Amino acid sequence: MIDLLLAEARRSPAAPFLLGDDRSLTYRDAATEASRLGGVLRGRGIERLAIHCHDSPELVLLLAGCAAAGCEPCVLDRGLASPEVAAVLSRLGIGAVVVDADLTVGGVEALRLGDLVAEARDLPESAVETAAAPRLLVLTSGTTGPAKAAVYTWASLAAQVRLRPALAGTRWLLAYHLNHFAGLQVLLHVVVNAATLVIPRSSRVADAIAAIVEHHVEHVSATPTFWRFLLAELGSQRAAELPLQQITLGGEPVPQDLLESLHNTFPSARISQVFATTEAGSCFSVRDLAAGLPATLVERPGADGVELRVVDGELQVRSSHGMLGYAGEAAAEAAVWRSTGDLVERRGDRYVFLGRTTETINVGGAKVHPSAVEEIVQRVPGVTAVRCFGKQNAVTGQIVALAVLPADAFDTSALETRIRAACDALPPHARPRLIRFVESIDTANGKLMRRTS
Amino acid sequence: MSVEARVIETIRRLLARYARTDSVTPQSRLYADGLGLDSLGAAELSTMLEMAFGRDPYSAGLIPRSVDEIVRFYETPAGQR
Repeated sequence: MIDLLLAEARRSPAAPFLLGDDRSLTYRDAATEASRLGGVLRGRGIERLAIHCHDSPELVLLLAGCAAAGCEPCVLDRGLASPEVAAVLSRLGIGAVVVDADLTVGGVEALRLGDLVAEARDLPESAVETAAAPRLLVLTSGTTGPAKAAVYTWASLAAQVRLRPALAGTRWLLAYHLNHFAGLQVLLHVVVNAATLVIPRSSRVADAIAAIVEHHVEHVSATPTFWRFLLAELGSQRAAELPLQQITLGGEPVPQDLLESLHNTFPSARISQVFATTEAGSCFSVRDLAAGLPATLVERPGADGVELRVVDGELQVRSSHGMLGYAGEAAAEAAVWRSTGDLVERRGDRYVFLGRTTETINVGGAKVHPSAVEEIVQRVPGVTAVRCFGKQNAVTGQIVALAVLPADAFDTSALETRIRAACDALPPHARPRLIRFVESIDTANGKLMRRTS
Repeated sequence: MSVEARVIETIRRLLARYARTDSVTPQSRLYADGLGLDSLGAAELSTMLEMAFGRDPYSAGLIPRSVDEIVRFYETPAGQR
């Protein structure tokens, strides 16, 4: 990370690296500040550091500074409250946390990001020192228990990014948070390819659109949920304002209708679906505008160090460039098969994603995959977005429930009738038994939250 | 509106979702020997009752067999059941 930044600062010092809401940095300025932040961390003797901050240019500099100092950063979900932060830090043996607002965590040194940046500015110029093989920690989602921290080296993450000279100078939006593997991947795509990272004011889709327009962003990688909301927010008239050349979707099943809508709205943009996991790293990408992945990807011998197989309907992956292991545990075995938690089904010459194993709804012993219901409901005119989830029920254990965000001016009573009619195509146990119309839909890191309520 | 009227209205709304216009009375039986609800129908009814009244007999561990039994559930104070 820091080596790439320094190298690009030497090649193109004035090239823009970070464009934030209220601050922009060239590669030269970013390399200088990151190196000095590294000096501050080294001087304080910090070896492992939690970061509880909003995405910002300063957060990127701090990550690069950690790489310079050989300090292992672990970016936390900014939404975590103090007790949750304390639990993660205790589990990972972290003694310091960088914050951007008041946060008291017992027994842990809390450092203000702004103070660190100011302290770094006061450091005298000195020769840049960089650590050998610096590492970072990436927290898993923790859907089946406490979140674990996957250990990577910056070099191993950067090695998953293909260097394409044509990408130099292109502009990428940070639509994932930097506490997620996908957010770090976007950052590394930018650094490896000497591109520019645009950090929007917030994770709201309206702010993302504003940043795309203002900074002429061409590359956006985000979840299907993000793209769904972007299309709804944009309307048909404003699409031409967005100079998108590359649209990337990942993190959730990608419905066919969304691929078609994006292609129709941005006909000149290339559209890719990517698949990665925190533990296995980047696995594959598909660009054929069809939902799911070609069966040949699963049946072929490993390519690019990644092999796929399907066991009991669940996709498994074996990767040569996955994590080193979990923090606090023995190193991971090389080339071990890992469950992805993603359920797939063979349909013709493709495997389509059904959803997460943890999101499956159990209605009286029959399984329902939320994405299959959502795909049908999403096509009903008047539906802007839909979230399907299991609701606890005394009779059948769970029932299928929907939270529906209607388009403006739609009669919800008539819309409910149309949704129920559309769902007649589903088997009875999979039909929604509760439909609620809502003013917003819960998301986490751009993904729909489908947990049972 | 009385509890009985609200319960009957809730059941009518459930049946209307499936284009049924059965007569619903306090004596109506709920399952195969009456309105024909299966387990999924009962699950849906329990959710509708919960939405309408804030609680439902199924979640309280009861399996009401008739409309009247549902009405009595809501008319009986919780401590006396």
